[in-house]
Amino acid sequence: MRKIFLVLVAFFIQVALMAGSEKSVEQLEKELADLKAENLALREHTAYQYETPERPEGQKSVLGFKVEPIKNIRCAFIGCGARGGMFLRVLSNFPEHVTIKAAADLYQEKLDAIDRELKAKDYPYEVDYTTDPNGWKGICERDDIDLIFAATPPSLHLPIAIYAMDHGKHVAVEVPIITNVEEAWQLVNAAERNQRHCIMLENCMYGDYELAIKNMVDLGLFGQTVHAEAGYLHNLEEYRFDYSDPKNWRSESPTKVPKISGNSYPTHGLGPIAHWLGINRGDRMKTIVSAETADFTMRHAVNMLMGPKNPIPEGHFRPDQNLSIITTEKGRTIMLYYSTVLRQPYSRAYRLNGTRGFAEDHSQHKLSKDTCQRRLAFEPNFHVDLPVDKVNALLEKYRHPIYAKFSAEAEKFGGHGGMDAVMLMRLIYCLNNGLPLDIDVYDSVAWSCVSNASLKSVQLGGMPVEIPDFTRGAWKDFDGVKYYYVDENGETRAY
Amino acid sequence: MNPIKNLFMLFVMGATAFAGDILLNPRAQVDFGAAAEIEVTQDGLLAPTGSGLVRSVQHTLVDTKKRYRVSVEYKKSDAVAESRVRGTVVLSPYNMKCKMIEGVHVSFIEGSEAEVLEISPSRGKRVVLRLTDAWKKELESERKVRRAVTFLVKRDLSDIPNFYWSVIDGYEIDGDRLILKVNWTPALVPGDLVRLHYYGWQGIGKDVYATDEWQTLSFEVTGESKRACSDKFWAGTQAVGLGIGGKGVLFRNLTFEELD
Repeated sequence: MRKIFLVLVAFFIQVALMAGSEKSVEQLEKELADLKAENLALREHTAYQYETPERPEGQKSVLGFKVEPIKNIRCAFIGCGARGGMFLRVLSNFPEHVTIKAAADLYQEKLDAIDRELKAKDYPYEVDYTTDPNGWKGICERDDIDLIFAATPPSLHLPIAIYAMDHGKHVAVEVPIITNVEEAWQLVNAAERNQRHCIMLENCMYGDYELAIKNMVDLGLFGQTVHAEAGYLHNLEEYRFDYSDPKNWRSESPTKVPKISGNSYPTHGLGPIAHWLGINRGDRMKTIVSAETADFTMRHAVNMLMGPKNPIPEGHFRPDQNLSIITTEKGRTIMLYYSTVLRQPYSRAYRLNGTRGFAEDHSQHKLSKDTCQRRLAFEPNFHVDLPVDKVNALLEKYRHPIYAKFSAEAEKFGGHGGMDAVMLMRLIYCLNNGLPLDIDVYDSVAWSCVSNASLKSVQLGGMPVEIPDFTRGAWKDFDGVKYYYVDENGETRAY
Repeated sequence: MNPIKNLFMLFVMGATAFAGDILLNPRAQVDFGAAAEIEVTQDGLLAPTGSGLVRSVQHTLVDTKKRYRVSVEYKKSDAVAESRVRGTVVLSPYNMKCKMIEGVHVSFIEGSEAEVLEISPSRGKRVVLRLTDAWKKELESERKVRRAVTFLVKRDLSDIPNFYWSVIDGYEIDGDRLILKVNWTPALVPGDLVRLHYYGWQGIGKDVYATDEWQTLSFEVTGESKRACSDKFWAGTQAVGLGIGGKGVLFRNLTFEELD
């Protein structure tokens, strides 16, 4: 009897609870609407957005832009240090395609060295030199120059590029071409406003490996590309601790507060994989999330090299590593590594996943092929690494026609394993033949702005940051990145 | 339109009407995989460059009761000095789990089921069997084949295709005991049955002998067979791919079509 009573009590309590929790359709609909509103409000705060300015009236896109052939390109070099000086020296060997008109640098001894070398080889043209810190403006204002190379410290890249384009010059600028998104829009507008070429001199685009993989991507050997990784993993201790050279702008001192770096040097790795994935020509980078470590290794290195009693180790150094993940408009992903601190061999840490195959490269350009840590695997045996000889044979078989065409120059002039020479030859070839350049202003700013966008994401605790569409929608009109050439019949074709 | 062109068009239309649905037609490097040992010229010539078969990446499901046809044209490469070169054209069969059914899985000596006498640990390298006439006859024959032993077999052949197999590296006969030296075994218990298999088939297909002239190979496949053969799908076949081999042989118009 007592049991029956308890069961009945439990039943009535449950019925009462159910009645209390029952919601009308109206209530449920209201809750759903509230949830949706809350979700929308949340979404506004789940990604940092840069302002995207409207294209100013009268400006037009320079995606696929080309000019009439310039049979002999009149060039000026602003900044003649390790990079600019190398460009000038290589191009001085092709007087039939390039005329060196002017060279500027803050240090007379660098210009003197160039002058001596040019005279020694009977360089046929007269070159004007200047060490005036503002001399670059006068060079930009000249009317006998077609192309200006800017290889200065990064803070001067933007002012030189804009001033040069506003004075009708094409510009070729060292990496990174800009340091933030606002500068990026200024540069895009300058190129569009003046209808001038603006190329960032990203030499890693022209490595034998990078071009071979691009060729294989273009031939469909990887199928649909899905994911790519790259990095700049370059321990720079030997630069950082060389305080004997005051002109070495890479030296840096510790700070009193912890440093945040973001990925401050993204383009060497990002450039090649962006072209593999057709970024800005068929897809675009949409968002980035970024995170980084504290400064373990530098602190350790400074301690080891300077001793614990030195005040310098008490400061803060740059983080050991920054990791960034980019998602693209079409749902692909990019992983970027950045470290100039971690103690490991140099690597650009490439990885490519496609629906039909896989590639990975951790080798450095100075190593011989036998020691390369390169991996390839393709369907149907995608779960098995190809043997080293097969990997090398395939990379040779699919060597990009661009690298094959300029391999002699790569061998002769070198520069990071030849890629510098190929980059310069390719730039001159395109301008000589009136072709679109391989790298345009949209590539240049999109790759460079990752430094600022990744920093922003780190500052916001890993919040997604939207990467602006610098093409303002024109990326949708293309299907992959093409490299143009002129065939034996004089027809323009594309790889 | 001139009358010859008209006649040609009629012929093409007629031929098309009798042709089946083409299910496979590999004609590019990627159709075999980027690393496959084959050169594909711009005009669609397929030239295997290695010693083994290259197989199409694409498979197609088949109904083994239906009729299908493999067709290909072939000739020898101009670079080859010999008057003729051997090539191979096959259908590669795959089971329900996309596992390739290889020749050794379905090439067996009839009645060679034999009893395991001694327990062999898993991954062991020694199997002791009761010697049977079928084994004795085959081992003593001078056939130049690589022999294999399959494990966990059934007398009614329902284990075919049998994927539990191992190459026979050597053997000893001790009275009525046969001691096999093998690379691998599953865990066995006395009384388990094994069977004698052998290599010899690279797929459901044929060898061709290429000369300077283009020739055509065309063969039909229908029905199912427990034993490797060239006109039936091997037991367990759910899907097939195409394979070709022969360094120095050029192939073109390689197709697999459904006739029914």
